Formats: sequence, structure tokens, C-alpha cells
Amino acid sequence: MSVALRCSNLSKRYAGQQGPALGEGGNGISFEVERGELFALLGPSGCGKTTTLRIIGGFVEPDAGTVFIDGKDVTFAPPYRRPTNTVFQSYALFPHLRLGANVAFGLKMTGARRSEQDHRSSQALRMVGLGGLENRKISELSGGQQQRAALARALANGPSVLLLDEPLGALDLTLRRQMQDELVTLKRETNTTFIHVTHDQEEACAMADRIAVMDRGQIAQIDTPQMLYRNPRSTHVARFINLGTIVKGSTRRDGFHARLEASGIVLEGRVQPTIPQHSRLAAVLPRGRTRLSSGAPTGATNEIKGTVERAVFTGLNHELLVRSESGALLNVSAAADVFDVADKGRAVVLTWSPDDVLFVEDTDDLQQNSSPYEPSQAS
Amino acid sequence: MRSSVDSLPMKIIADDRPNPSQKPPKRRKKLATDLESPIFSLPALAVIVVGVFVPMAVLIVYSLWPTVDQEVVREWTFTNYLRFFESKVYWGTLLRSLLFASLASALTVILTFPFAYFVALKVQPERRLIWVLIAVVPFFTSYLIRVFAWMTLLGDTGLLNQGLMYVGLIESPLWLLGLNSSGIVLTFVYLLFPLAFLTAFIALERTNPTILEAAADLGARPWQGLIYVTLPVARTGIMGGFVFSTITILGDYVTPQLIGGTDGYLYSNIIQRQFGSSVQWGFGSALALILLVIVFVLLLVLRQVTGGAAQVGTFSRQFNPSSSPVLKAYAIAFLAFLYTPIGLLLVLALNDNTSIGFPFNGVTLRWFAAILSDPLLLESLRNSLIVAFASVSISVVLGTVAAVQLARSYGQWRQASLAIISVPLFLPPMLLGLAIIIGLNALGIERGLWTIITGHTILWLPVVTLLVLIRLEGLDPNLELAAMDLGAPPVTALARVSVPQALPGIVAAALISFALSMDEFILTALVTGADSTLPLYIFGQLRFNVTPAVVALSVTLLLVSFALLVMGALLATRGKGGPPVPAPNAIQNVSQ
Repeated sequence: MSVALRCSNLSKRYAGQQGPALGEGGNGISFEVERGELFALLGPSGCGKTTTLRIIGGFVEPDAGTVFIDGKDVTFAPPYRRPTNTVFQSYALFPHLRLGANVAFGLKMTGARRSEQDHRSSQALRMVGLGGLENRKISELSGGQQQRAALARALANGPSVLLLDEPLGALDLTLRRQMQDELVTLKRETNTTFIHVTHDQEEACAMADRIAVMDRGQIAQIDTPQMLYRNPRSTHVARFINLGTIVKGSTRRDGFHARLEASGIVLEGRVQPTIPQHSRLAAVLPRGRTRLSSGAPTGATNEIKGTVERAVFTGLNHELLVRSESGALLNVSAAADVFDVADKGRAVVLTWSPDDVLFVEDTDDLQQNSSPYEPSQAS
Repeated sequence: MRSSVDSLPMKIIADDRPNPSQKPPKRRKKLATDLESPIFSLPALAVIVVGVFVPMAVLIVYSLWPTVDQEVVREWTFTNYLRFFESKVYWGTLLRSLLFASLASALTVILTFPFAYFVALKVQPERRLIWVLIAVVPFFTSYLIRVFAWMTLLGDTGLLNQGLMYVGLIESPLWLLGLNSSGIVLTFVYLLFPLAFLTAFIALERTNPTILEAAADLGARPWQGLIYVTLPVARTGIMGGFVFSTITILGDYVTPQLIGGTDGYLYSNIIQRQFGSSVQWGFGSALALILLVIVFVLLLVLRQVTGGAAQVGTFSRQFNPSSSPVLKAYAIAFLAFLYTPIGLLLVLALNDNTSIGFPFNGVTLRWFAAILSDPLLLESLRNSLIVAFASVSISVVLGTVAAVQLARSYGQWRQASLAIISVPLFLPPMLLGLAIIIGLNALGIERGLWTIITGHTILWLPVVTLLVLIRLEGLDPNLELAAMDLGAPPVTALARVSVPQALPGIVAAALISFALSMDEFILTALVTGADSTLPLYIFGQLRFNVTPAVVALSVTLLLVSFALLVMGALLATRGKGGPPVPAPNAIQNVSQ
């Protein structure tokens, strides 16, 4: 495997804007992407993911750092001299050109012969399932077709890195699922490197080989989807992938294990080995690993007593909001066949095995959250 | 009126549960007070039909009657048209005028485009309105006074040539800066700038800026992006600016002659002479109709080459334009070109010198005081105010009522009504003026101040109707439905909800029309009887002797109309429906 894209130490600050958009001080972001890999940049809006993509595409010059594509330094090369092509969020199809001419545009710019333009653009259109529609006007295409057209246009040039800026954001759920599969298939068939910007963690998981979770202009973690869910590094990552409830309190770390005490409960679990020794820690209670019972509490560790505040049946699970005795709210899921606890007002006991309680680095600002518990997201 | 609300639920019940024993409730009667009723747009339509279409028909009839001894004889004949084709003086002049008008327009569009491009795509969104205002301000001065400024600047003894010779850049006067064909082109570039600028600007501003990034991303070098993306996408605006500039020049019988003397004797002058000293009404009608046909052909060409490039999909305004020093320098140089004549006027108005020009003898305000001591000037001012007040009032009432109805109608009625009401916008005012005087002549009616008012009403009615319509259609239709849902009958909903929302648009339209009315010359000069208006007075001065008082007056008018137009622009943009324009930070935040 060879490295298709290498970003090192990138930082960017926009004029007239508070704080840097990407990186901070001399501490920019760095990552490498293998050829043929689908690499997702995941994060909330304002985290710097689109800025990173625009730097790779050549639309923004970084204040510091370098971008290498296929081993060549392209940091200051204009977009038209880079082996990258972009699928824009708004598609940016040329309204004055028909579908075929839109897709052939890049080939025309490079001076390809007319016959080659036609051949390769119809090939690209067939690849995305729009074969034979060359003479359609852009305004006659549906939203999903426009999305495919933008994809075909970007692929027709045979880029070595394809940049996707929230490409599926405007599609409805069914179509989005379908396009996710098709994009993965296309990546495999063309062996192109994909950089995919999204704020949808499910989409990133479904598609990406590796995910970079971004937070306030920094990369919080780069991992495969499985590793990300199993071993989130920080509270930010855990919160963004909606893993479960974050609990804060006084912690004591002992190698790969840690213990937390807060408002009458005790939690024990494993610590991410990569977390530095003296970092602040917080516990994450993954929602799917919660054991629910209505029996009497035993007073053991990893146990919280509470009442069901709200229950939402999602088809596969009951998503429960449980209020603990200390008054905090916790997000848990229960299997769909656990009927007896899924009622509002029911007293329940929540337990976790020590293997499921994760201790992650607390990357939140100190003043945030006076309550030790924090439901990741009330669903 | 109440019935319109009450009958709805009943109808639904009747549809849901058909009951044979019960007679179905009667459909509510179309009341005259229903705002959908076409009656409301009829007055506006009538004004245009009676004021434009009927006179045009008379024009056609006249063109087929010969003129003998300055009297129109009622015999059908093609002699008027034959005369045009037989003499090279006529068709030759027409060809020369066409060539001249299209060259001047092309130059205007080409010189203006980089400026519009800069403002639309290189200026941050929140600063764009300021740039547009700065660029358009010079055009709030009287049209004739702007021409006068160029008369002073151009020529062998004009300020430009003299200035360049004084600093030693040239040894003899430049032909390019002379009072000749070149000077006419230069003056028209100046006069038509706002038209070319606004059409190109609107087209560029509406395009998704991301498509320019997409072009670069696909390998287009900047010049390729310009040729293959920017120009084709903005072609409607560019061609629109070109065609309307050409039509304006073809219909202007004043500027070319004032600047270029005999060089400026164009087809429009030949037409005008037939209705003036030559008294050849039949022949003049034929010449005017030939011009009308050319205007139609130009508009058809415009329709053919434009359209089709409708915006696709939604797009956000997130765009970080790269700075372009060359374009910026060009834009600033262009602003200097726009402001030089205005600055010159200010200096001349304040110069303590009884003849207009230099040397500069110090600052005085006595020319401003002198405005008040010229009875003819005051009389003209009074007439202009009467015409403006009357024509704008009528246009606002008829136009608003028509817009209220058109905003609710759809289909062919709406298309046809809009087309009819818009006709005066597409015709040179000269043709409208000629049609009116021919119509009056056919009816044997004396001209007077009221004919000017009629002419102006025809000109401003489409302006008001379209501006108010745009405003009304920008409103959320649910607002009115909400009012009716809360129990307001349609007329109350209109009066309490829609009209207050549309009021800024109505006031803006009134202010803009008022400023235009105070400045209208081309049509006014044709349809006036013995009355003088301000522009007519200024024209008289331009032909004989211009007093500094006239310059002072025009500076005053500039300030007044500027104030009116800025008020109009602010009112038109204030509190417009839709989400507020995001602050610059917000825009960049979205883009990350």
C-alpha cells in the first residue's frame, strides 16, 4: 500500500474570525491516507473538517503545513493543477450545460479529444447509473440524479483523490443509504482514494475504512469505525458518536483500570491505554451494554438505581431515559423484548460489567457541567 | 365577504358525505370584491392599451397614408416605405445608427463587465450594497446635465484635452476625446453604465459561486473558467445589457447631436424631424415603425440567446473569494471615470465665474440663490413637480391594485396582463412619445401639461406594478392565509397584513418613479404643448447658453433625487421576507 495523501501540520485562521479554523499555534493537524482508502472526516459544524477538505482541494491556502498528494507537494498549487476532484455539497453543476457536457467538462479542459471526452463521460455516467441521459438538462434531473451527476463529473477525470463534501446531505434517508453503498462500491471498482466530510456518524461508520473525529480544529481520534466505538479516546468523541452516558467524578487510575466515585455511585472499568497518565478522566456508560433489571439493588459497583422517566420504542430497542436517585438523567437502551421495565415511572436497576465501562480523557472545558451525569443525547 | 371563509368547511363536508336528499351547497359567487377578480388589473391594462396599443395602431395607419402639403391624405399607399428604401440617406443612416449603437453598447458592456464581476464575486456580500450604491449614485444627476458635463470635458478645447496638453502628455488634442463619434461613444458608455452594470451584476450575483470553484477543480484555468462558465452563465445579463443599451441609443435623438454635432445626426434625428420642422407625419410614422420592427427583432434575438440557465438546486453563499488586485484597480479606476463628471459639476456650481468653465475664481453659493430668481426656471420646476406628483400618484394607485390582483392570479391571464403592462419598458420612450402625439393628432386634441402627465403615467405604471408585484410575491403566502384562518375576510387580510408588508415596496416604487419623472426628457419633449418642464428648460439652456444657475440646480437635484433614491432603496430592502442575511462570521462558520 502506498500513501495517496499526506497532510502534515496544517493550520488555518480566517481573516476577521475569532480563533483558528484549523490547528492552533504550531500545532496543526496531520494524517495520512492510503491509496484506495475511504477516509472520513467526522465532526460537528465548525470543527474544521470542511476547511481541511478545501485545503486539500486547493480552494484555501493553509497558513502553515503541507499537503502531499502521490508524494508531491501541492500545498500552494491551484485547484486546476491538482489530481483531486470534488463532489460539492451543493453539487455545483453547471446550469448552462447539459448532463453530458457537465461530465465532460474536466476532460475538455485538459484538451482531450472530442471522441475521448464522449467516451469517458458516458462511461462515467454509466458507472453512476445515468447512462444514456447525456442530453438531459441539469434542471430536469431529480436531486438524487444531480448527486450522481456531480459524482460522475468528479470521477470522469480519474482523480487520484476524490473529495466529498457532505455529498449525501440533501438526500432523503432511503436514497442516502443506497448512495452510501454505491459510493463504497465505486471506490472499490475505481481504486480511488476518497476523503469524505460528514457530520453523520452513522454514515461515516457505514462507509469509511477509517474515521478522523474532529473537534475545535483538531483531530481528536483516528481509528476504524469498530475501534472508535470500542475505544473512544475522549468525552468529545464519545459524545459525538452518541455512545452513551458520560459520568464525571473523582477518579483514580491504576494502570489499565480506573475507579470513579460520584454522588453515591461507584464505577469501575478499563482505561484506554493510549491516554496519557495524568489526564483528567470521565466514565462512559455505553447505552447498548446496559443490563436492566427491576430487582433490588445489591449496592455493588457499576450499579445505578433509578426510575424510568421516558421510554421510546424505536423498533429494535427501547430507548430509555432513566433518572437516577441523585437526580441525574441517563440514556440507556434495552432489548425490545424487555417489556416489563419499559414503562414510565418504573423503578429499575442499571448495571454494567467492568469490561463495558470505558474511561476516556475528559476533554471538556472545566466549567462545563456541574452535574456528574450527562446523557449523551436525549433520543 | 364572510361567505368566502364560511363556505369552505361546508364544501368539504358535502364532498365527504354525499347526501342525495340534500341539495349540494352553492358554490360561492365570485364577488367583485374578491381580490382574484381581473377587474383590479383592468384600469392599468386600459391605460397601456389606450395609451400605447391604440396610438401604435394609429401610427401604422398613418404610415400608410401619404402627406401632401403638410396634411395627411387618407389614401392607402406604400409610398412612405418606398421613400425610405429609395433614398440612401434614410436606410444608410439607419444602418450607420445600428452599427454605431451596437458598437457603443458592446463597448459599454465590455468595459462594465469586469466592474460588475468584481462587485458580484470579489466583494464580500455585506459590502456589495455599498458598492452598488456608490456605482449608481452618479446617475441620480439629470441625464442632460451629465451630457453637459461631457460637453465640457470633450472637444479640442475640452477639459480633458486641455488638461492632458497642460501636463505635457500629448501635444495636440486627441481625436478620441473630441466632440465627434468617439466622444458620443464615450458619453454613451458613461450614460448607459448603470443599465449594463445592473443587468450583469444581477446575473452574476445570482449564480452559485461554487460552480467557479468546480470549474477550477475540474482543471479549468482562470481564463477557461471565464469563457466556459462565467460568461455563459451570465449571458442573460450581458445580452440584456447590450440589447437595452442598443435600444436606448437608437431612441435617443438628443445626446448624439449635443456631443457630436453633425457626427451625431442619426436615424432618431431623421424621425424626430418628420414630426417637427418637416411636418411629414406619414413618412415619420413609417420610419418610426421600421425602428419598432428593429426593436422587436432585437428583443427576439435576446429571447433566443438567453434563458435556459435556470439556477439548479439550493446553494449557500459560503464562498471565500480570492483577492484580485488587478480587478480591484480596474474597479477603482472605473469609479474615477464615473465620478469625474460629477466632481466637475460640483466645482462648476461653486465657481464664482459668470461663464461656465475655468479659471476657478473661488467658492460662491450665489448660483444656488440665482435658481430662485429665474421665473422661467421656477415655472418649469413647478410644472415638473405637478407632472411628477400626478403621474406617480396615478401609477401607484393603478399599479398597486393591479399588482395585488396579479400576485394572486396565474396562468394565461397573468402572463398576458404582465406582458401588456410591461410593454412600455421595452420600447424606446421616443416611440411612445410619437405614438401619443399621433394619437392626439388623430383625435384632434390639443396638447398640454396633461399630455405629459399621461405619457409619464404610461412610463411609470409598469415600473410600479412590477416592483410592487415582486415585493408581494416575496411575502409568505401563508401570512394572508393565517389572517383569514383567524377570521379576517380577504380584504381585511390584504389591508392589515399584505399591504403593510408591501408598503416599503410601494414607497420605493413611488420614489424611484418620482426621481425618473423629474428627469424625463425624450418623451416629454415630444408630447409637450407649450409647457416647459425642468429637463426641457435645461435642454433650452444647453442649446444656447448654460448659466451657472442651471449647474447649481442640477447639483441640487442630484442631492434631492439621491436622497429620494437612497430612501427608496433602503425601504425596498428593509425587512424583506426570508431569513436575515447572516453576519460574515456566520457565513464562514457554515463553510467549515
